[in-house]
Amino acid sequence: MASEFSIVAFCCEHSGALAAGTAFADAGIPDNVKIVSVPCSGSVQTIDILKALHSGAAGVVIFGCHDGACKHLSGNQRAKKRVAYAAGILEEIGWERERVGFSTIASVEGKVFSDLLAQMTHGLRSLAPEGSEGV
Amino acid sequence: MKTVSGLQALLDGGGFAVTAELGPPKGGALEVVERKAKHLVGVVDGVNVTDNQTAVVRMSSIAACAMLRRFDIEPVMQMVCRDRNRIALQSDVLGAYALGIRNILCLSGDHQCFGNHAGAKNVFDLDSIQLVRMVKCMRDEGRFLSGDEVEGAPEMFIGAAASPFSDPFAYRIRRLAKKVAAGAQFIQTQCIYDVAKFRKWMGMAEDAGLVRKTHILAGITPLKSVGMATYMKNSVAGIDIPDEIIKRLRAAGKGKAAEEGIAIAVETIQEMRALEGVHGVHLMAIEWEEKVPEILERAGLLPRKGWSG
Amino acid sequence: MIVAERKPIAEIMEMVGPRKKMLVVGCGACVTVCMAGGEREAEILATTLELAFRNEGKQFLWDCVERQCETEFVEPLRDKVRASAGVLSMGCGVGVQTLAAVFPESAVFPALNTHFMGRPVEQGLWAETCAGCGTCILSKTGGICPIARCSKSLLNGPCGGSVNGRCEVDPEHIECAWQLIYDRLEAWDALDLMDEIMPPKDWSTSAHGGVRRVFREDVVL
Repeated sequence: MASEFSIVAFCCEHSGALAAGTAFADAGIPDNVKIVSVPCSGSVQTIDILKALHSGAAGVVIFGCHDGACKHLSGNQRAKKRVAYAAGILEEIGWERERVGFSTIASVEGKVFSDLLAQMTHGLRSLAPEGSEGV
Repeated sequence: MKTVSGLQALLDGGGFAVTAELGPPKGGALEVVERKAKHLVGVVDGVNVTDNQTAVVRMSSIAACAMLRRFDIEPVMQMVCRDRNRIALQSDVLGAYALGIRNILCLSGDHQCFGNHAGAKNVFDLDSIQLVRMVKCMRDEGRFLSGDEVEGAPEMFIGAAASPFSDPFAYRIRRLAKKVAAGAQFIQTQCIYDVAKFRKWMGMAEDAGLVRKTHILAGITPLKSVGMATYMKNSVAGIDIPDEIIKRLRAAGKGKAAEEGIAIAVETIQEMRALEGVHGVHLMAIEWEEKVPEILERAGLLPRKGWSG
Repeated sequence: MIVAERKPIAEIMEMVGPRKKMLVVGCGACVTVCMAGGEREAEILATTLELAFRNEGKQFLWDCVERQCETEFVEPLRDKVRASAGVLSMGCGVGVQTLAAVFPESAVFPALNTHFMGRPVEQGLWAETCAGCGTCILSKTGGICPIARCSKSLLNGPCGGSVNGRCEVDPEHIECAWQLIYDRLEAWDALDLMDEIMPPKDWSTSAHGGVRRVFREDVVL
């Protein structure tokens, strides 16, 4: 269990994972981010998001292809909906919706990827006192 | 067919009837009923008393009808299917008869979601057409729905409502035919603003042979304001208010819309008087009962014979 | 199918009370189809509750059975039920009561609100279709049930509240059943079915008549 909080990033192999690769090559990816490559952002189920939190992540983000670019047509839309649903579940148990997020990204947008993660990290830090411990 | 009420005598005798509507109070005060009734004595041939209209709890129709008789008004008891099962409905027909009530208007009733007890369990054991037939069976065959004999058949003049402007438009006449076949001797329509459309509906009713089988009374509701008209146009099912009417109300100017609304009501009544097959008007001036005499005066419908007992 | 929805999690958390270990049980039939209490939903609920009660360290195990309304399918849960302080059933009301009947010594709680008998109309939408009245009249109404789908259960509808094919009770969401019946019968050139006055319904075969049962003597030895 990390003493510093962690973020799990589910990355679509057609976009997010490639962007992560670029980001890694340029500025590196912080240690607290765990990249999980998936065949499509739409293959991430609600339970995967919750299990990541259950395992100790402070936040979970899914990176999918931009609208219209999903190779599975609407996988990115599904992912967005599932993240919203998971956010609703968190709200019902008194947790912050901001712990889960969805972003569309292109394979070449390494800087965007880094910035988005930095943004989420910053946001989670301000919530840290409650969420920083692992299970 | 036996004549059992003053209203029936007038209609069957070829006269033009005028009925009005009275909403009972949300309390037990007899004085409220008396105050409203005062405006209607002698100027109408019958007064409908609503039955927990819009599913808002009010003094019962049967009680308020019984009171109206004390004020020399012939009541038309409205009965809805929403709150009572066939046992209670048949029971109330007997009770109404015993209390001297001789006119019944059979309705399905507004769904309880519109009222102040939206969580109530509704009944709808019967629908309005089955209710018409039920009263007819009690009256003509002296039998309850169970087949048992009624000890002293209740004599009632049976009515039903018609909604010419609801959908499906093409089916409305067939449904009217069902009500007439079930035993509806008089029909009070939903309030009319689109005279041309109503004329068309009357034509269809005539073609179906219904105009001579029942007495159609045209519903009239005077509009008090542009707000009331817009609300009714947009939010109340079965009410069709042409834009010209709303324009007229607006054009009347601040504070003058009510006057214009009365003028429109008077005009509509005059059109109904001239419309072949319309045997009367049903004036629903809810919470505006004091305007009824003026409207009828201007429409040339006064004086009336009054209640003849 | 029976259509249900998960109760608000706050309400479920209250049911947990002081219990430290519970078993969440899903059902593979109707509630799977309406995405309320199937295997996925059972795992989601169990995981969510562990997150919610993380500070207290409560444990929520989960399982799913083929049909929670049948004794033979829930019986194999016995050991797991015994090892828990209570059960959160994600079955319909029938499933909850089956668990309660088979495991009477256990505290069984409903994690769902059971709504109606209906069908999936389109993705994400399930609508009420059958009222279980016990005297089916679908042959007279073109296969569209007015008892379940007319807000007033009229047999000689529609009422005056039918506008543009919608029911005034909730025009945005409810179609007027009698408009649907009219359209269907018109397409079949069978509108005379609507001219017949349907007599008062015998409600004694419905839930109004008393608690019902079906017994098949021919299958009992």
